[in-house]
Amino acid sequence: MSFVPQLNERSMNEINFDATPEPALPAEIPVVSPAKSRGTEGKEAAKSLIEIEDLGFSYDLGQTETLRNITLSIPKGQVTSFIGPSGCGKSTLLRCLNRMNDLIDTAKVTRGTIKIMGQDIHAADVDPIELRKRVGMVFQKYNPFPKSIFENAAYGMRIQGVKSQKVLAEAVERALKQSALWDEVKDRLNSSALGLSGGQQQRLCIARAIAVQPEIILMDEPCSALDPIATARIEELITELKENYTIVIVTHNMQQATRVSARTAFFYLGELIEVGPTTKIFGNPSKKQTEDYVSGRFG
Amino acid sequence: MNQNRHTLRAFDASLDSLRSEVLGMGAAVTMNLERAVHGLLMENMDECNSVIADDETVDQYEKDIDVMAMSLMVRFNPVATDLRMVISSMNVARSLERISDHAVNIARRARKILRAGENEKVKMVEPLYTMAALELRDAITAYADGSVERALGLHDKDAELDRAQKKLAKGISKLIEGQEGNVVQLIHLLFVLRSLERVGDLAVNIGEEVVFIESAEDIRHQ
Repeated sequence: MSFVPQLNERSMNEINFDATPEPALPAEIPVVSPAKSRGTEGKEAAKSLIEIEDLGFSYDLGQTETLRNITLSIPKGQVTSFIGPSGCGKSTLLRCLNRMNDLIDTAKVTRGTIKIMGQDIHAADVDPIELRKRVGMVFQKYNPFPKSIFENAAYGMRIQGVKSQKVLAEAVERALKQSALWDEVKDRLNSSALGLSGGQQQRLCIARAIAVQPEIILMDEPCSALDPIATARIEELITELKENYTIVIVTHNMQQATRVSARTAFFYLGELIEVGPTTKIFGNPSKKQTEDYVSGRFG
Repeated sequence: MNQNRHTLRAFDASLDSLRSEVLGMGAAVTMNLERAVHGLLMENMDECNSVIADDETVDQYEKDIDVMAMSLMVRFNPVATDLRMVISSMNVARSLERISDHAVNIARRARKILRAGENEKVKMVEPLYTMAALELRDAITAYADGSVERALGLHDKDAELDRAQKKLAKGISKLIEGQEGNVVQLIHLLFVLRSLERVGDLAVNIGEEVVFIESAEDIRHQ
């Protein structure tokens, strides 16, 4: 059937349109102002803890730059996710934050600065060991020491020279509670850490990192070797830990980034492409490269 | 619309199927509306009856689109444009279903008008229908092409439709007040005009979804 009547002179003229103008609205109708936005514009921006400025980094003494022109601010008391395809430099940048890359002979920061609370971490008077006390790290593969659960959690304190058993016991209990492991291990603190499940071992590694009360915790794909339940427990833990720590997490699991982080940074080929609130990065990214990556369209 | 294909081809295939289903629903709804008005103008009772019967097909489209969208969200976790596309497609289906309901209302009113005998005032439905049908066509085309410009153009078209509907309704109301002609028929005609005006509003809603898909801008209630 192809019936599409045309709006023509004839049909319009056949109708007795009343030419009376529309009555004007009474002047007293109150003008209602638009509803206030319920967004977060009014919210005070979180204070920046880590300032990375124009950072360049090379693994081969500057011949090729693995990271280029990275300028990024990481706010205090929030979870920030680094995402991007393999080889984009996100883990390299994470390891720059506590100078873990110093352990590689040919690695060097080629330009730029990283400041934590205003202090340049590459300044001559900064001891990398002291820095790593302030910036703890949790790795992809859980790596507890072949020692007891207690000794693992107490390890950082011991190498700091703490000898008091009472102080150590308190610190271990606090760390294990904060890492949501206490109830599961409190009756077997002297058992080997290697007897724990994978998820428990990773939480023990988090306990080991937080026992020395760092300000920042870096996590490099902390759940990639865990099953969904253990992953959920770590994610819940991350959400709780952000109350006391600033967390930076590298993840390939984009749903994980959306679940745990307030801000997300997308890296590609050693460059920071886009950083912003996680809802923006996954809802309406500004850059096409970001959109293509988060929506699974990458080449 | 992001023209790049997904690495996972099944994701693209599911999005394409969802889009096709919405367009199929759009065609069915357009046809229902056309037949309802045609039935009234051509005094064809069978056509009116078939519009009422075929509304079930449109209802089924809506349910199928919801199932497809939900399955897509579960399987592929869409984000950004893809997520907006899925959510807005469900909203477009909702608007199309309501347009079909208005086609049914028109068909029911048409049957009552036709049973009461001839009335030349039914002709006034034709220009209003043309405006509403053009709006609906533009809305569906904007969705198919991802055309923000076409979608935004619907606001002006709808304002014109609203003005025409008000004038016609005022004319009919005067006739009713003056007890001129078959008052019952005229009242049914008022409701037909009202349904066509609502079709225009729903086409605007579809246009707003297109703007949301393409630019992430929520222009509803502005």
